[in-house]
Amino acid sequence: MITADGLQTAPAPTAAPGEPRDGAPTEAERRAALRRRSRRRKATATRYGLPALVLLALLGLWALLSVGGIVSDLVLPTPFEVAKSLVDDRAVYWMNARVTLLEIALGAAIGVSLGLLFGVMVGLNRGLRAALYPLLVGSQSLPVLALAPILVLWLGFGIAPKVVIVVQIIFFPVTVATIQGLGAVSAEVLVFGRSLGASAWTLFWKVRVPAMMPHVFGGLKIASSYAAVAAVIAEYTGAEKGLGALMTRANSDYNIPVVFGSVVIVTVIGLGLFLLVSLLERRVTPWARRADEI
Amino acid sequence: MTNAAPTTGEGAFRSLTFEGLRHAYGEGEDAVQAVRDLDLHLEAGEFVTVLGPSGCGKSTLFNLASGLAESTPGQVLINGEPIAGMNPHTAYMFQHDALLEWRTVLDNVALGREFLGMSKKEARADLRDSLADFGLEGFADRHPAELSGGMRQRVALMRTYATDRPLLLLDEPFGALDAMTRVRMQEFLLRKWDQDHRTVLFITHDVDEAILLGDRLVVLSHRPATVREEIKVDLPRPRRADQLASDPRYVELRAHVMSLLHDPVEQGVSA
Repeated sequence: MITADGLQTAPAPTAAPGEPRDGAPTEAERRAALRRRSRRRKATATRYGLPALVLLALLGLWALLSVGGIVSDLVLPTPFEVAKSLVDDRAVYWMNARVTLLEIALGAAIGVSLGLLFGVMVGLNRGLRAALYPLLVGSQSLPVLALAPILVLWLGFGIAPKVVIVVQIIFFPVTVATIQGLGAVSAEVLVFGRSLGASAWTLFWKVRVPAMMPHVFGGLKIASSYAAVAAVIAEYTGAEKGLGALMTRANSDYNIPVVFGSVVIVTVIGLGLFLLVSLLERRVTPWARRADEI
Repeated sequence: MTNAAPTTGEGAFRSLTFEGLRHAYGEGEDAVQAVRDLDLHLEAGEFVTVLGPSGCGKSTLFNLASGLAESTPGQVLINGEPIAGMNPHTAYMFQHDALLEWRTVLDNVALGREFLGMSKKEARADLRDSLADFGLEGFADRHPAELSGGMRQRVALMRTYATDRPLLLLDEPFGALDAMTRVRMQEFLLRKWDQDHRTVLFITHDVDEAILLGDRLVVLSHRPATVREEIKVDLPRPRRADQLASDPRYVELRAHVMSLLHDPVEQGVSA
């Protein structure tokens, strides 16, 4: 006897309706797969088509306001001026963007490592959590950007103070996500494992780490959207190079197209980082459901 | 899968005994007595169902049996000897399948063996061919998210079976399933059990399930848990849920167990 969900009461292995037994899909399954594909195509169109339309509309509004002379070009350059600046001054942009990118890369590497390390330590040890978690939350209330000038005083005009600020901004969401992820592990799997003599090390690598990864990526996404902005604002407070430095200089020269050009590049960097994290997430945690995917 | 649990040899499992078992959580005035003066004896090959109200300390019983919770010396005995550290004979299964979503069906089934220290290759060696025994053939490379509730529970059951441990601690394993799937899983478990007669300690709060499955049925009291009555289920095997329903002996047993659960004394204790 075969029941609806493939259970056999007799040893004879016969295929239950609607279930693949030897790998060959049934006709109904093929049709369902086709339907799924068509639905997915429609979903893709909605996902990329709609935002593109909104972006075009906003660009149109910008062009209307600036080209139409509704807003003075001293304050708001036209999209064409900004585009021209992006092409003509590309060497300047690149020279400064390189520095900002380096600050982000270093800050991200250190911030993510520290966040994971700290998150795992605090997440696995109740004593440490009690001792350090309040401090961690408190550290996030520190007005780091207000402290930036002092950091410049301590660490100079180079990239060091900017890296510190990027680290401080990234560290928090990664730590919190890691702690949350470690808490999301099924207690039953751990009981099952311990009763079979699995070591804490085995349970950590086979169960805890994979289980926390979807949460960690949530934290990384938040961190990725903050990182570029943090670096640029850190550069405001005193830097020789970097997109933030370029913006402050262009601003005082009333070179508004360059300010806007820099904004465009910072935005692209932030978006790029987010996409990078999303791609990585899809590779590392393909099983996790993603509602916030772009 | 080597279906035969070790039944011979020096390290073989022969019996599990709770003797005047007591267990409390917390200390001092806040201490909660979970188990008090509980006596229970299981011989290898027996299927014993434990029936009791929610939160009566049934899960504590399991953790004491497996050695995860530390018991007072002399109260938990394996083969007549006091348990020392972890019980090397037990394997758990839970109400929540607790499958790892990132692992395929085959990798989930192998998890228990990996916990036992086997290499990944060793752990999977004969499991792919055994998937059919659990109604999972063709699903080796699927992920849990693609499976029905009943199938997920069969993966969890197979994972527990694959450890080759002789004493299975099943903690309301079918409690979260819909009624039809549950009956199917119960009959499935009975067929598996008929093949190699592992020792099963099965917690449930479903009276029908407790009678259908068990050789003996142990009714526990409210917390602190103690054995109110041990009932021998003298119904012939193999049993089927649909045939039992009209069996006069079954009806009689069921009425008796129900009366125990609704005992006014019991109500008074809990209030």
